[in-house]
Amino acid sequence: MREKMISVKDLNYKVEDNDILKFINFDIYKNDFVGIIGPNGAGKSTLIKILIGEIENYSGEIEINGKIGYVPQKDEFDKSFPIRAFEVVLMGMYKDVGLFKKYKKKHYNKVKSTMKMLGIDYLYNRNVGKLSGGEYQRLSLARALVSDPDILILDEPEAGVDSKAQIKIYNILEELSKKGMTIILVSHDISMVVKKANTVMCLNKTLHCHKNAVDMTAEDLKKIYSEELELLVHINKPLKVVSKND
Amino acid sequence: MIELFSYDFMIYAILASILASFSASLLSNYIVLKKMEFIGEGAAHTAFGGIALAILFDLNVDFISIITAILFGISIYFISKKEKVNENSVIGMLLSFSMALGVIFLYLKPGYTPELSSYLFGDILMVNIEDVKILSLVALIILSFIILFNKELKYYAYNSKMAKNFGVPTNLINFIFLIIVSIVVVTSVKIIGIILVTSLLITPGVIGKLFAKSLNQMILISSISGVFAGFFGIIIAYFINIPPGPSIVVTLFSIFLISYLINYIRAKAFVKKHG
Repeated sequence: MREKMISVKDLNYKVEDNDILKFINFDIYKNDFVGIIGPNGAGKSTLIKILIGEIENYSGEIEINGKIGYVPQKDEFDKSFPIRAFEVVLMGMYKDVGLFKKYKKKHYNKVKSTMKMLGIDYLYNRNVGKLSGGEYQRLSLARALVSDPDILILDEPEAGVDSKAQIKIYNILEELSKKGMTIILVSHDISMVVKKANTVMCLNKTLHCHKNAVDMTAEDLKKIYSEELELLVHINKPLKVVSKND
Repeated sequence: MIELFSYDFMIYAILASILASFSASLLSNYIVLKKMEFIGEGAAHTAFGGIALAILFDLNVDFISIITAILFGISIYFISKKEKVNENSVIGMLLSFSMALGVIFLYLKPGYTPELSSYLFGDILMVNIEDVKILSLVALIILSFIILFNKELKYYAYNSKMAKNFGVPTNLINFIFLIIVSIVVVTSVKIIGIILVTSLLITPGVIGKLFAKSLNQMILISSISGVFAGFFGIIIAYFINIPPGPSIVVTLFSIFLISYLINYIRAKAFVKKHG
């Protein structure tokens, strides 16, 4: 039997009488690569924030077995902040060190090896303000991975990144998944999610589908995107979905 | 010049100025990086209410203004924890409220209040050995705070929300930081003045940021700039017989202008060399 990593039961979240998430139920197992898709305002980022503990005033039950590594959608920071890449990655191991203690050699070595694995070791001493969007995104991924998480959660890692860098990130995720990591990916890139993830969740306030990526149909997508998207090619192939505005 | 050091009051003033500048410069790094420049202004103007209250009832000015400043720090922390009220809005409201109270208190005080302009712009003659002791203690506390919480302060200033996600106790850091800023402002008021103390909480950090590649470098550069301005500002004030506050601020701003110019020339030269 596969090990259950995350179990969510009857999750509801409201902000001033507005339902943000309604009756969400799902289980995620070890080595799952789950893609969460949905239109803007569907509650994807909120769900992530609940899972990582940033939002606490929800109702329902959430059980998490294992350490979470988190890659945010966007890191808001001052580009002229005098901080180097390795210092940002070290933040990922803060809990191991805690107050009043310094990072040790093993922590620096871990940062080096993780950055090397992601192909960004050449950025080690570089000031973060000088990194490109793609480089910064991989740096965020390194920060999430240094703590050896059991579950990796990413919130739109493709946002503000060029297509070449996007492919790099997705390939890294595929590699990590092959190595046994549980991955939860929120994305607007439906075709990439269907291609790389093995399970897809369709979210729009509530869960409209939770199934294997290969079983996704145009109907599943219509349920959550309705008027916003026109579906061109689908069924058992990478779905190619374009916006009517494109 | 040597005669300067033969007067006790001058030695106290120089020491007070250096210590106040050093403490404020250390904090200025985080204030500039976190873009919370308004905090110093708020704490200083709030202290005015406390000082006026002490003058009205003939209480100990130092004690009352420190209490007012601590209350200010605590109020900002708790009110701005509610998402609907922005930290700067709270500071703006408390600032004018305390100033208003200060003016009311002073109007209620019968007779002339000679100390007021000294509190507004600083006064060499107001500083005594007790102030030097308090400023030394404050400088020591801030230096210890920065050394002990070095990585926490760095992440707090870099991205507080993200730092919290990674387990950094940002609420605790924020709370201590607000209180410490308020205390530095109040203890520096005698030498620099309410109106001008904000400069010391911003300018050294801005100078440091122009040159630094790391936060520790920034702390070092800002501290040197602040202490330099604190020392020469007070000497200039003595020789041309002006209040120390404006003299320190003008010296500090001159350092900023020179630094900015050097940085600009360096950047131009770099572009020319590397295309």
